[in-house]
Amino acid sequence: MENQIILATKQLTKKYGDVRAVEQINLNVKKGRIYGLLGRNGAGKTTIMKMVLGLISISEGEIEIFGERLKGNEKSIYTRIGSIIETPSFYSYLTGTENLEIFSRLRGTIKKNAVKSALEVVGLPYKDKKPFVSYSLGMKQRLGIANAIMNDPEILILDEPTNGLDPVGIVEIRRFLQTLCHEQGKTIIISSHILSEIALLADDIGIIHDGHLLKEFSMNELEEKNKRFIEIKVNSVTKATQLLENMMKCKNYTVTDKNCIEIYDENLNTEEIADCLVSHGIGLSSLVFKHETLEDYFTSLTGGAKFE
Amino acid sequence: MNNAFQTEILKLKKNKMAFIGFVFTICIPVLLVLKAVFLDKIKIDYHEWIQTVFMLVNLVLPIMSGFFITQSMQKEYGEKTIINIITAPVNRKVFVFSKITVWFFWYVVVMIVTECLTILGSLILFHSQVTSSAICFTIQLFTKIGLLSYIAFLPVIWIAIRQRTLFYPTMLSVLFFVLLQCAGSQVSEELLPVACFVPWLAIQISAMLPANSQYLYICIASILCSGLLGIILAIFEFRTQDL
Ligand SMILES: Nc1ncnc2c1ncn2[C@@H]1O[C@H](COP(=O)(O)OP(=O)(O)OP(=O)(O)O)[C@@H](O)[C@H]1O
Ligand SMILES: [Mg+2]
Repeated sequence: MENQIILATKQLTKKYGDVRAVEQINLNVKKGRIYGLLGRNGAGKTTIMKMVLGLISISEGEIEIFGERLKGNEKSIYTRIGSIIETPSFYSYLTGTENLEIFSRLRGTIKKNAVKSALEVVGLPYKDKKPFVSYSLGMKQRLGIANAIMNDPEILILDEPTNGLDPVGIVEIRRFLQTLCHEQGKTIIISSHILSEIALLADDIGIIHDGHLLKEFSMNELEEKNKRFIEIKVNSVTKATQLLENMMKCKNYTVTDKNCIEIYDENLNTEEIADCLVSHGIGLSSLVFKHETLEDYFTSLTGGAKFE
Repeated sequence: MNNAFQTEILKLKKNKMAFIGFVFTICIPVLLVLKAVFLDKIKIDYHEWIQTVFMLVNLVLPIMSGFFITQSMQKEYGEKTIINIITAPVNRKVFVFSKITVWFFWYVVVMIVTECLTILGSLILFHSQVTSSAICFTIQLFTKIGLLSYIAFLPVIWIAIRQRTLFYPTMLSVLFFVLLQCAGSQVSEELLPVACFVPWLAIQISAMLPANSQYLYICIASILCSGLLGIILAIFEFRTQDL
């Protein structure tokens, strides 16, 4: 069934004392798609994932996974989920293989060569002598991914899995996740504070800001509703807006900067605007067609909270 | 439970603390044999020797045991492997029980090896004086005190869970318990009615009381309470803990 909801949170809230880290989140993750949780540092991405994984208690609200309520069905649900939360965590004096053997045994019901093939998939050596403590950050991250995919889960929950990877590594992981999702039909929930990463990878996006889910949309929707607009840069915004309103009868615009205006009125053409402004003595330094990117959308949603 | 316990055993193999604790404890009878053979001018008698071993083991084993469980818990929090364990998923109660079980397993192994070495040592030094009933008595005493001490120290796991990545608060409480355990042998008769109710004091007291003493039952009860409370608190604490 297309677009079946595989994981949903209802009014999910986490309070630490009086602090509300996450408030009334309603996520809807569709089966077989990559869901990107996008938010700045401290927005609450990890907190949401930890609640979904039962690592921290839920203050209010509930979670449904695979069409069942999580509460009371933890054991059967969690065996079908693989995850990485924050940094990959393993026993420092055991090798990668030993670590995976421990966690595969804890899972109990997995195939015999699961450890070997999981390591192969992420490109780490099997039965290597190197202890985890001397792994590079990228290797640690790979081992974390190997651990997450080892039991062939239906849902993968990955908290910033590309942290610390080099550009080539990031591309590799991105391709790998896309294969997992689009060819093997796995559902992936991935969090990141890196916009471009999410824009390249995710099918659906939830924007988290200060513990609230501001918006949930698909990349397709974003592309469709991507407003095309004309951006002009002028030396006097006040005069220019007067002209726009009085001479060109345009009300559909916003001033985005001290000398920058975005015009959404589709009936106007660029020549008309340029002629009008210049003939009334306004300095026009640029005039371009633009469309809104994920970054602009994020910025407009979060009220100007820009990514550094 | 079985899987969780087996992975604990796998982890033991490369656990330095488990090894150090083992070596330190079993060294006591060995070193005391060497001392008696090479250093002591006057030949000490059998009971004196056994008592020295007993006293030192009762000091060192609980300390090592406390170190063992503290480090074992603290490592899971410190390296955040606990997140991988709980999401595996391992039931939280099962996790606590697997830690208690592997702790007990280690403790019993160390205790038995130490007992064997003590018996062996006593045979080497005093083979003429050592009767089979003396051996039985030694084994009984060692095992009884050892097990009671293990049970009385169970609250340590609760403290370790509460303290998560912190090592020292748990260690300090271990040392405090050990102090009480050692003080147990010095409790005067007037203080007995009170001291029986303190589980860590009660460990040594119970070894000195006659089998029909009513205080013995109080001692055993207070020790069992300590163990039971330790387990319940540990499970309760961990069940609601944010990781
Ligand atoms: N144990 C805790 N006690 C109190 N507040 C906490 C605790 N854990 C997290 N928080 C708060 O909850 C909020 C959300 O944190 P969270 O770790 O979920 O953010 P995040 O989106 O994952 O950020 P990052 O991108 O930095 O990983 C933050 O304001 C944080 O300070
Ligand atoms: Mg985070």
